[in-house]
Amino acid sequence: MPNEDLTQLSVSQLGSRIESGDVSPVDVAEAFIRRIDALEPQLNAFITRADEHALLAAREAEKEILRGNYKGPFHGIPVGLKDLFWTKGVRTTSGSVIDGDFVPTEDSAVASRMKAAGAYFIGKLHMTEFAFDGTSLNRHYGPARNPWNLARMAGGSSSGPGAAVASGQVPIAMGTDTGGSVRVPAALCGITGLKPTFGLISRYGVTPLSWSMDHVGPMTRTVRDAALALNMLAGYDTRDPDSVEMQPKNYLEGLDRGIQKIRIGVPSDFVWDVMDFEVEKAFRAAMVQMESLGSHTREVSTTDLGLINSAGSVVQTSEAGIIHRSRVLNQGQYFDPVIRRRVESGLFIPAEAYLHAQQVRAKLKGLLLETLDEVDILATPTTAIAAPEIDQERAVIQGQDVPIREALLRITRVFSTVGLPAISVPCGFTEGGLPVGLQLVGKPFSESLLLRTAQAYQESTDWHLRRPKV
Amino acid sequence: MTERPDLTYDVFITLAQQQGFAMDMLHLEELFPEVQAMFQRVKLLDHVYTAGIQPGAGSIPTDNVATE
Repeated sequence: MPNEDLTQLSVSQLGSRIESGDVSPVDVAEAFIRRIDALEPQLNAFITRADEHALLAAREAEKEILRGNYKGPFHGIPVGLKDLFWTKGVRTTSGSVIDGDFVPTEDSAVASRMKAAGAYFIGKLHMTEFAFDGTSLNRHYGPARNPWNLARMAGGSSSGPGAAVASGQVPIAMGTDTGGSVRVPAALCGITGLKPTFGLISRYGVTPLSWSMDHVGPMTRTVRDAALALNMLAGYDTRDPDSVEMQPKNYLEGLDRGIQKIRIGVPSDFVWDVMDFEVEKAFRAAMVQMESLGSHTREVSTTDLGLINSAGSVVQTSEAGIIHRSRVLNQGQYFDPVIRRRVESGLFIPAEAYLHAQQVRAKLKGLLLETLDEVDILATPTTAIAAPEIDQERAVIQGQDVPIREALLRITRVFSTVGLPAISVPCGFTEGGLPVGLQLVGKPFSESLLLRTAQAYQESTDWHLRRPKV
Repeated sequence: MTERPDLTYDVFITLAQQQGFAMDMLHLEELFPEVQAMFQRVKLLDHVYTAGIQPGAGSIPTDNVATE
């Protein structure tokens, strides 16, 4: 298709053009490199570019395909990796200067699986320092900017993936999510972000923040691409102690079956305690749309979601403290002072308090699962506000003065803490032109139903087709 | 669980010494409110009755795995 802008296509669309021979993997790589060249000075979505690596991999993919060895929908597709996925021979900073020269000697499980599927990475993407912040600020590498408004943050901690996918610098990126770090930037940048059930995707070769809360997830233009990515990435890995052994699934199967009679529950409290009016308006309209597609939507009362957040915060901070103990005690001056204090505070949490938080987490998770016996899916806005200004510290929401990080993470953190699968899809825009995210949450390992529900909504709307004029 | 006492600055400094922090008093003064805030979150959990519950919430109870 002559003159088609390849950078505006989904993985699914690119894959079918590569398979049919309409475009070559080299054409694809060159198009995205040109796009990165053009936009990177404004967005700052990359920490390390890998143009040469990408072109070599694309040429190799082209040869393989010409030889008749087509590997599937990811063959010849460039991927952006958040800069905490280890990549053999290519530096992996984790958003820090302390690890600024760290060059892994092996690939992460995600990078290995991508390679096996014929995909390749085109760069290491921006993130907040050690993934311990929900903004897109980074003292060492500068802020990543939101393609919809360059004065706004992209969200974090997977800030580069959010900005790069939304702007067409990459068709897909991999992020990680400990408190919302896939879903928050997905919502703020107007893309799709999936945090699968804890243990479904291996975290081997991912710089950790919190062993019992870290998840890996794809960030894409469409729900279909998220399903494709899950097909590529899900699977048992003995190298990740929390990896779960399950029968392989095809997440594309049944994706377009619709949501007739699916029961959707909307939490009746907590979520609405701090909520911007425009975000709520977009969410309520999305629920009306879901009803029109045949689902049954109703309010549900849940266990104390705020308490889940407190337990999650204690667990995450405690684990981050011990993971980064040596760095923070010996090289503390090289941290952003805000991140440094956050990490250090974890070292003061007594062992019994950490274990009690884990018990609370287990108890409240059980209670939340009881709510999920009454409905199939929970739905919430992904964040309480749309993208804040780059340096904004606080926001006034419904008359309440709220820290930005709280406004960004308070809803997503609940579901990271309990390990449930959750997806964010675009569901509208504010009057100022900023995207709003809809979060859907399912039972453990119900990704097929979760994706199906998100797909039904996405296919009936055009929010995901809108592109920023960057 | 019995409610724990508030963290005092003196106890905080003792804990910092035990953890191996450099005694940079300016930095420790900035850190103290962050640690106090964390202790408030810990205290919020103290009233939750958890006897008999085994930690390990990261894992998924098999009887709750979705079937389709």
